[in-house]
Amino acid sequence: MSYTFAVRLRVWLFTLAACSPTLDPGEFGTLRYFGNVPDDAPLSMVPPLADRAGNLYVLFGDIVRTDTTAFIGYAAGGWSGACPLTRGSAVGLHGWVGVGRERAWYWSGDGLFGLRGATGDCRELLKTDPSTGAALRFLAVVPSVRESTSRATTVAWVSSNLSAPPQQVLIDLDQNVLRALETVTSASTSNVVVHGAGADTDDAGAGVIVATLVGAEASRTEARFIGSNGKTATTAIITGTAPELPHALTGPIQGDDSGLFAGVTATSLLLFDRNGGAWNALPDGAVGVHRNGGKLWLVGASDAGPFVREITGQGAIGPAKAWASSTQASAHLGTVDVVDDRSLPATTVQWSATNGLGSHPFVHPHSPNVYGEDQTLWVVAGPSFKAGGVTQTAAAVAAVGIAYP
Amino acid sequence: MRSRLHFHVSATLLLLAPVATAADALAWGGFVEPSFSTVWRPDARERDAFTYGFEQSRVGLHSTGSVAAAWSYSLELLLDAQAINTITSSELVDRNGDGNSDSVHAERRTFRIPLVNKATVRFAPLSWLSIDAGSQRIPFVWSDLEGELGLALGSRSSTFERLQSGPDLGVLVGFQQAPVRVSIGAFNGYSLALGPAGSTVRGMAFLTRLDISPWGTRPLERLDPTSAATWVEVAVACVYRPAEIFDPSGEASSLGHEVRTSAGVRGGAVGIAFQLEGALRRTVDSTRHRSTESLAANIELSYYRTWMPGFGLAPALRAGLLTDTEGSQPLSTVWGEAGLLYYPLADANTLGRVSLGAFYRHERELFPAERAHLALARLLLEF
Repeated sequence: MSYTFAVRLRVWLFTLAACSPTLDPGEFGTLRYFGNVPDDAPLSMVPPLADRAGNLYVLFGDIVRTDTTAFIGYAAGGWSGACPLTRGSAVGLHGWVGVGRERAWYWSGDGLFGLRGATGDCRELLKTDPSTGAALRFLAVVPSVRESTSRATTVAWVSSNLSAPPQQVLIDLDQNVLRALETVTSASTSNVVVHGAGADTDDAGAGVIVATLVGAEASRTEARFIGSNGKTATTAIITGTAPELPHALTGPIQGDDSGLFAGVTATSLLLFDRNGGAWNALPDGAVGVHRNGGKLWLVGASDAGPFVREITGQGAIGPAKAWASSTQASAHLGTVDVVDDRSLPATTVQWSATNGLGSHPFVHPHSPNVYGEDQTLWVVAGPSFKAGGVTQTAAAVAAVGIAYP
Repeated sequence: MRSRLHFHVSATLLLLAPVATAADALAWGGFVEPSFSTVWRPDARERDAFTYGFEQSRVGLHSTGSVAAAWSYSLELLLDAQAINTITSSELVDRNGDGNSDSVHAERRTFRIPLVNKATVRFAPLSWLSIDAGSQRIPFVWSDLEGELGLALGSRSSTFERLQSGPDLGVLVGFQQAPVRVSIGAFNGYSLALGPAGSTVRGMAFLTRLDISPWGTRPLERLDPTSAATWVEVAVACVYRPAEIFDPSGEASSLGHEVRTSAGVRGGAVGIAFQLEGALRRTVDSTRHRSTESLAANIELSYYRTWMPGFGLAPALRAGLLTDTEGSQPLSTVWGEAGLLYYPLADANTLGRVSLGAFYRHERELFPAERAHLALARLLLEF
């Protein structure tokens, strides 16, 4: 009788294990040591990403640094090693462009780069125009990839070292070719200052680019909505004082289900929809706009700790609420076991771990990427040490539960 | 130890088996099915947008028979133009971004339809007990119970083929006492997907299935000119697979669990047959902490009538939905299929051994949107 009961209990436990949620908010899954990166925590990185097959992609870098490095963690175990890949010395990492079945793409400096989780391959895409041989500069890349059975595409603004004006292009990420569809500027435009780009969540591979078109007599800031076919769907005018320097938006522009878009600079909050928008004053402590559950959230930290504020469909900013997931994630750090599978077979090491990105877990200009149901990926910092006179910090990545209030 | 066990089992089976006659053992049949198909994918590159040819042509061989009291076998071989394993693409790999290739990566693909579709030995010592061992499909949905010629529209539902493809290896024990049939089984789990690519997954898949026929008796053949019986069947099935996952170095890296359940109802009246099935799959492993979920539904409707000698018609419709969630990025695909089979040798009692068929299949991925249209004409000759 007791044996039968024990067998039955084991079966039910196995079944429940397969059907129950895997991580509570703030709870970390298996930490995987992916490498050593420069400087102490918080590290100059964007939130990691996973493809559909479960391969992990980690980027070291930010808009200021010009030494972007990519790491690829294989779903079956093991890492590709560091791949230093960026182009240009003016700006650094803009962020992820998107993810596919077993690959991911990012935009850094003037270049567009591809990573393959199946092989560990990392390479620059479309360094030159295949038809003219001219060097290409990616002025803006929409952070959204349309990957279907037949092809993977995204849209971007591209200029070349020839004197031709910037072009709005549809990029075939499989074939490594682009098709110019529209000229970005008019004859009266003397310069283009790109502030940032965002995805249109209603249409994969589509998005919006916000830029100021500087003319001889007047300038105007506009949000250009681009369809996944690479053609402009509509243009909205942005009022207020636009940043003078390019790429001032600290993370990708985020959109909610009602059609409202938002982004932040160091001092301002941009809110707009397809009818227009404006630059607004940035609430104290806010560092970025996240998208979760079809809503927009302004995230930041104050003396009281990490907070989130809902941005409603009308553009109103809700009251600050303590972000329990972030606080709980901090509480889960400390002495932790880390799987070192940089080379196989894997070993387990113990770290005194701290939060790796931002002032608090999840408080970052870039929205954490969806990893699973109510789960994201986050970076944890381990011990720091000196190598060649430069401080290096061991870093690991893990799935972690997350919830917005 | 393995050879001793093998000897013991073999010896036991020999003792139980009466002497067979050679004539009982050889009962062969099969089919030849040349077909022409066109595929139109309007969203694809020009190279892939329109393809056509005879790739869907097939040849099948089957043999069933009894070699002794309680002992029988079933063998189904399927040959088609695509049943090959080949390199589908290769690329140079640059692992450090220096612009130089470090290795070559080749991708291989084994095409869907296997050579040995079924090869089982059946031991049925009692009227209510049967044991099938060997290569066979895990009977998760009804189409897994059917041979190739018993399928509506001449093909398996794409909905369920995405969840489980091809035969597996294992043993299936059936307990039958009308109107109930209970099946339990253990399989290698080759036809299921669990664990990340590049890893080795080891764990048996356990099946429990319940079939109930509360009303009437289903005809033995799906299209039976002599039967207009009214019948209903319901079924539920559950497959559970706990597995150990090994990383490429051969070390155990995590534990995985997969649970899949299905439920369905089917029936027939006045020559019209219907079938409605749904399935749910969920997997999770202890390293990735990310569950994979699939939800599938399928409905079929078919009809047969011999209008006059030499003119039998069987129209059929099928629609399916599959939502696949890895992480929280759902991919949804819907299928709609229609077909018409014409039996030129049909009479009041038989369908005849020749059929001509025309089929259309529409496949649509919902996000991002992608469409595909398949049109197929086939000639089927059974022997």
